[in-house]
Order: sequence, then structure tokens, then C-alpha cells
Amino acid sequence: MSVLRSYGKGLQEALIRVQSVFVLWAVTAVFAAVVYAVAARVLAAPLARSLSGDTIMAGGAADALLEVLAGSGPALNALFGVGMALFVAYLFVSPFLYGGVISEVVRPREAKGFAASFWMGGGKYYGRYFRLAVASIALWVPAGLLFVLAGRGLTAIGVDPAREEIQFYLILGRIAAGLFLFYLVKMILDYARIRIAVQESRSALAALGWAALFVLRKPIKTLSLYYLLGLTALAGSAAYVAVQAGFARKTMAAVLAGLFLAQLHILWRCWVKVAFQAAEIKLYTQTAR
Amino acid sequence: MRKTVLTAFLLAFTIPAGSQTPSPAPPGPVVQYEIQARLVPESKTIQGRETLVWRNDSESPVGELRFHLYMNAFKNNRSTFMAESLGSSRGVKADKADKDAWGFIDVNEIGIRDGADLTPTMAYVQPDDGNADDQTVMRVTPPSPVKPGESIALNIAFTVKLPKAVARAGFGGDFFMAAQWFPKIGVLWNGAWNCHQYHAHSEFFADFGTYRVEITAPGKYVVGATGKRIGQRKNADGTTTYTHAQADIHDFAWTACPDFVESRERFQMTSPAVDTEMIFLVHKEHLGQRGRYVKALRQGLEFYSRHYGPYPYPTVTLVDPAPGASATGGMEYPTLFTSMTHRFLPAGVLMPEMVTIHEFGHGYWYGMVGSNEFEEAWLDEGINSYSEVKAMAEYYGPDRSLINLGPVRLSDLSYQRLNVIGGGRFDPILRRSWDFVGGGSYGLNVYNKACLMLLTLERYLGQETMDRVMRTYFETWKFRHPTSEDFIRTAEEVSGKDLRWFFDQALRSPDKLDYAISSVVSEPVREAEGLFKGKLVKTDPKAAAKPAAAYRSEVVAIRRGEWIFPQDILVVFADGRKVRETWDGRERWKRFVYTGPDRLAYAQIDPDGVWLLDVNWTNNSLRLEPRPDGSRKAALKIASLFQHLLTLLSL
Repeated sequence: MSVLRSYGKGLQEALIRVQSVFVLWAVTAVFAAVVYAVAARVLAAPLARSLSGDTIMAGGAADALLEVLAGSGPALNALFGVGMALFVAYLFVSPFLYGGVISEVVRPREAKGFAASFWMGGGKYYGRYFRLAVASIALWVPAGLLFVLAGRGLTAIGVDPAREEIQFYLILGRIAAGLFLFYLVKMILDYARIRIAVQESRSALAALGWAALFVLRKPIKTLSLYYLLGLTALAGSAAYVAVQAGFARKTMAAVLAGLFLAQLHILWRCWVKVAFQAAEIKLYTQTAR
Repeated sequence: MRKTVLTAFLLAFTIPAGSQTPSPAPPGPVVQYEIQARLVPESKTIQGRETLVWRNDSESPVGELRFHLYMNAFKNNRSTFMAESLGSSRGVKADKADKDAWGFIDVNEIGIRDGADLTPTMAYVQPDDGNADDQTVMRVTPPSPVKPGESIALNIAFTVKLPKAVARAGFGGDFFMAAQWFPKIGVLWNGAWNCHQYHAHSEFFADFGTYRVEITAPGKYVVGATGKRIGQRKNADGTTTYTHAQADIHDFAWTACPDFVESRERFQMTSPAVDTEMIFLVHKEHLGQRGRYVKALRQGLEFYSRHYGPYPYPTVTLVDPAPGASATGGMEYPTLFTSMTHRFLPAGVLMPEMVTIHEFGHGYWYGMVGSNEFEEAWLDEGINSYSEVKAMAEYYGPDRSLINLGPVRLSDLSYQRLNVIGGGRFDPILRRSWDFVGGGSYGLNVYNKACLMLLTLERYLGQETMDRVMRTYFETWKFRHPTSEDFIRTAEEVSGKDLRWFFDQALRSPDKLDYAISSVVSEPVREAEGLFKGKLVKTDPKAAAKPAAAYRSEVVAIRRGEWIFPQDILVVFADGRKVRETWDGRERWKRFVYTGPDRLAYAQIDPDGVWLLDVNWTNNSLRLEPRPDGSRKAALKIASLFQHLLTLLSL
């Protein structure tokens, strides 16, 4: 019951703390805007005055765009470089966003001042969350080793390459194992952040150890809640994929409508992320000692 | 006498290739093979005995005979094949620590039937690179030269150790693919032996002839082979012997695996008349994919018969290699080929269809039209890729003939073009296979660029003319050994055009074709101003404010590449008026000037998309006014994907 209560509470809080959702969306939008500016500049040179641009608008996008990209190696390298730099920068911004969202979620509803709560929380916990990200190597490395060992074990089972069906399911098994470990570490990090914020703990390493033990002691509850929220996120994504698949973007108005749809999906994802934090905080406060 | 008797004996057991209009001056069988092969699965070996009758088809006596011993390419890491490929080929790396991984062929005895033992004269030769460690070509010396028109009959005993599946042949578990497996005589061509070593990036060349092969394998094995099965008997030791025979072929391959599920279907068509038996040997792991193979092979038979000439053999066998032996997949032999798939391959990934049509197509280009794959690989790979692209477009749609997964689509033609656009330009198409800078350049040139060259030629000559070129080339050269010159001559004769300029550039030069519109300008024609006959003429300010009565427009077309191809240029004005220009393309640039009532809208070079070899189509057109919607749409897509990635991997 505590899982369902936490899940419900998380969704409810995410609906109330809608400013946090918009901030998360806005930050991704700013990063994406930089990518757009660079991509538009890179692509405008060959396309803006070429009839190939019309082909892209008319829907023959894959072939025409691949033609442009295949003949634009240096420009493409520049675009890829900018994308990588922005992604790394976003990883540095992430601890601040975590601090802001968690501070906002734990703020009593009657207390006013989203801005103060979010931005001050982000600043207050940035150092600790950044250290936590570094300390998380202590989890990522064993998780990686476990993944490699599991992979070797699975390979040993399916040593006969002629058993293609088994080989295929073993590959799926390896992917599933990898995803499980990846999200397990992410979940432990979630509880470590919550521990730091709620207990005002200054030691990132101690919080990480506590969170790992917490998840180990309550695996059913923590995992159930995590996957319930994960399914919620997937449901929205599935709906987005279904809608946009039948959406022809052959005019600029349709392209902008498609962009709007994509932003709604990003907003959904941000909303679920806030729900994740709120639900996990609820579970933590209900069950942690 | 000996020749006559043996020929009659062999022909009694072989199957004629069928009835069609004979090519001009068809060659008689230069080689006649009779082979007994016994598969020993435990040791991965084949024990073989071969009787070969070879006729000296030249006008000079021949003092030595040369044989391919292809399997010795896999004997050790010093062979030319292994040295060139750094131990790997066709995506599979040889496992050097595993003794079973290596393969070889030992010729135990060779001698003239009822005559001299030639075994002591055996020697390995390396005509291509002088690599003394390479044992893929063997020479023997008869006691007396073989005179022109005379035949020599040889008895050969040999042992083959099959390698772990690598470069088209070998074993994988219980699956065996015997290809390039027997001592095979080279081609005496233009008065000299054309018997090249086995290289990392080369295929094969051999004379047409008749084959009769007995294959003995343990009873549980399902066996498939080149040609028609004319006999099958169970032996006392639990083995079964299968006898296959076929005329008018230049190679023989076979396969054995207990996990094959064999099925047969008839293929018949009336125009042109074709009646053949399709034999499918599908591994039990891939039975769910069988329907795709059947459909694609039917399409291949129909397409090639209709476009080039009727399929003449009584059988065609599709082999689906066992999982784990994919290195043997995607390879052609006369009347038998290997395709490839995966148990869970989605229907929208048309790889089995493409490979099936391509490998079946090799039954025409190299199988029947026996060009020299060592020296002019484009004549089979390029022509066959051209045929494959057309067949795939016809049956699966021109814009989705390779990938058709909802909104994700890719055509076979786009795949070929993307390879050429993005590839390096180090080699020409026409080059000996081992002289290319690497495997990537070999593939890019002999498959992709040669395919685009022929599609370009088709657009240049027109569909109907090109169809006649291809049909004529096939009819003239089937069961013979054409060269690039023969293809060019055929194309020129059929089209009635001088095409030397085309092939000299496209075949023999590594440069590129790239024409572009570099600038378009359209300015109002000003009223007269200045001194005219000593009088100052001024513009009336009221007239200057009015819309211009005429515009002077200018288009500059440029040649960015070295190849010189004639160009059409389409100039379109704002009122929809169109002007079509021609340019011989020789100079580095050409300016076109117009004066008229309307501004220019855009100019486009090669507006009909004839020159598929042009490496940049984006610069083929230029608008006067930018219209950035397309680039904005693409940039938004990229940015949106990036945004999704951020939310996926982090908060």
C-alpha cells in the first residue's frame, strides 16, 4: 500500500509543483535551442537556396538529408562536437536541477516562494550532489563488472552459435540486465540525494552507502515504485510515438505543430521526473528510519 | 580418340543448360570434371578424387599446367590472402589459436591417365606477388607439351581440410560449405595462364565445362549441390552418395548439414520460356524466414529472365547457411548460391530479399557471362548491383527497397549513392582486385560506383536502349569470357553512340563528377544614364520609382570535379517561364545571360537527374531568394532529438 500511496502522492505533487516541471523543460529547451542554432546554420549553407530543401520539406527527408550530411563531413563534425559539449555541460547542470526539484517538493505547500525554494535549493545542494555524482563511481564500477560477468555467464550458456533463438534471447537478457543495473544505480542515487536533503547530511559517500542499504532492505517497495513510475513515463512516450507517426510535416505550419507536440512530450517527461522525486521522497519518509 | 570417348561419356551424364538461341561462336567445353568427394565430418575433411580433361584451346603448345588450390589461402598467416586481409575476411576473423580454424588442400597424387606420374613435378608458383609462402597456385609439367586442340586427361587425388567458416567456405558446427574446394585448372587466356593467387579482395575466373560430381556424406546429412541430382544411393557404411551433373558451368559447390530442411518448388514462365526447379535448403533455425526466400527467388528468376534472357538451367538451389557460419553467406556459384538471414529479422529490413536477388543474379553475371573477376570485378559485381537495384525497386518500391520500417525508409539506390558520396576517391573502377588500396575501396568501386555508372548510362541512353544493350551483352557473351572492352563495344554498337568518353572517365579515373550552379543574379535593367553623344542623360525620378520593365539575369554553372560530362541546365523565371540550355561541360565554368520581363527564380543543372555519379546533388540548384524551410525543418528535427536524449539520460 505504501508503494501505491507514494505513487499517487508523487503524481499529485508533480501536478501541484508545476513550476519545477516548466523549469526542467525550459533548461532542456535552452540546450536544444543552441543545437538548433548551430544545425540551422550548418544546414542553411547547402540547403537554403537549393531545391533539395524543397525535397526535405516535401517529406523525402531521409534520402535528401542523408545526401547533404554525407557530403558535409566537416560541418557535421562541428555539429557533433557542439552536441557533445552541450551534453557534458548538461551533466554539470543536472545536480543543480536535482537540488531545486527536491527542495521544492519538500517545501510545505502553504509556504510561498517557488523561486527562492528552487534556486536556493539548487545552489545549496549543488556541491554535495556533485560530490555524490563523483562518489557514484563506487556503484557504477561494480555494476559494470556485474554486467560483464553476467554477460560472460550468459555467453557460456549459449555457446552454440547455431542456436540462434537462444542467442537472440541471451542478447535481450544482456540488454535487460544492463538496463536493470543502470536504473538500479540511478534509483540508489535518487535516495542518496533525498537523504542528503532531508537529513541535511553533508557526506555524499555516507548518503550513498545509506541509500544502497535502503534499497537492499526494501527491494520490493523501491523497485515497484520505480517501475510503476517508469511505466507511467513509457505510456506517455508510446502515445507520443503513435500520434507523431501519422503526422506529416510537409508545411512549416505542420512542422511547428510537430515541434509543439514534441515539446508536450518533453513536458510530460519532465512532469514524470518530478513525480519520481516526489514519490520517492514520500516512500522515504514513510519507511526510512 | 581419347577426348571423343571421354566427352561422350561425360555428356551422357550431364544436363544441358537448356534451349535458347545460341550465342555467336559458342566455345566448346574446355574442361570436363568428374569428381568423387567424401565428407568426413569428424575431421572436417573431404577426401577427393578428380578426373579432369582439359583441352588446349589456344594456338600454341602448352608446356605446363596451372591449378588453383584456393583452400591453401587458409593454411597459415603467411598466405597472400591472410597477409592482405590481416587474418580476417567478410567480417569474420580467423581464430588462430584453434587448430580446426585453419584449412588447406593437399594434392596427394597427380598424373596423366594411363601415363606419367606428374606428382614429382608439382611446384607452387606465385604469379601475382612472388610471396613464396603462398600455395594457392600449383604448377605441374607434363612430359610433353599439350598441342593446340589436343586434350589431356589427369587423375588427381586430394585431401581438403575445411577451415572454420571464413571467406565463403568452411564449416560451422554441423554445417559444411564446400566452395573453391577442388584442384581447379586455370584459364589459358590470350596465350598465357590466367591463374591468379587467392587474394583478400578477389573472386574467381574459370573455363566453362561439364561437371559430374559424386558426394558421399553420412546418412543424416541433407546435401545440396550445383547442378541437377541424377543419382542417389545408400551405402553399407551408413553414408549416402549423391550424384550431381551439369554442363555449361565453370565451378561446382556443395553443402551438407543435418539441420537443413529441404523443399522444392517449380518456377515456370512463358515469356520468355523458363521452367526450372527451385530447391531451398533452409536451416531449421530460419524456417520462419523461408517464405521471404521463396518470394525473392521467384522475383529474381522473373526479373533476370525478362530483362536479360531466360534462365537456362534445370535447377537453382538456395542455401541458407547455419547461424554462426555467416561468413559463407551471400555467395554465388553456378546454379547454387548462399543467402543469409536471421531468425528474428523484421520484415521491413529487406536484407534476405536483396541478398537472394543479388546472389541469384550472379548466375547471370559471372555464372553465365564469365568475366574475369580477378581483373575486372565490376563486370560481375557492378552489373549485378545495377540489376539488383532495379529489381529491388520494381518489387519493393523505389524509395523503400532496402529498409521499410514505417517512417524509416531507405532505397537500395540511395544506399549505393551514399557510399559513393561519402567514400574516398583513391581508385578507378577498373583495376585488378588486389591493386585497390583496401577492401573498402574495392567494394566502393566495383559494387557501388560501377552500379551508379550503369544507372547513369541507362538514364543517358534511355531505358529501352539500355535494356537492349544488356540483353545483347548477355546473349553475345553468355558462356564466354568478355572484358570491359567487350561491354563498351556492345553498348556503343547497340546505342549507336560514341561512349568512349563516358567509360574512359567513369571506369578508368578515380576522380569525381560534380557540377554545380555557383551563382544566380537578377537585377533590373536601368534606364540610360550618363553621357550619350556628348549629352547628359538623366533618369526621371518618377520612372525610377516604377517597377522595372526588364531584368538582366545571369546564371553561372561550374565544374568542380575532373570528369567532363555534358550538362543540361534549366532556368526558371518568376512567371514560370522556363529556358533549357546545354553545355558541353568542358570549361571550368559557363555563364548564361538573359534579359526579360521577369526576375529569375532558380537554375538547376542536370534537372532530369541523369548523372547519378554526381557526388553532390545539393549544389545542382540555386534559388535567387533563399527558402530556408527545409533546413529549418531538418535543424528542428536534430534539436528535438537532442532534447529527447537529454531527458532520457539525465534529469
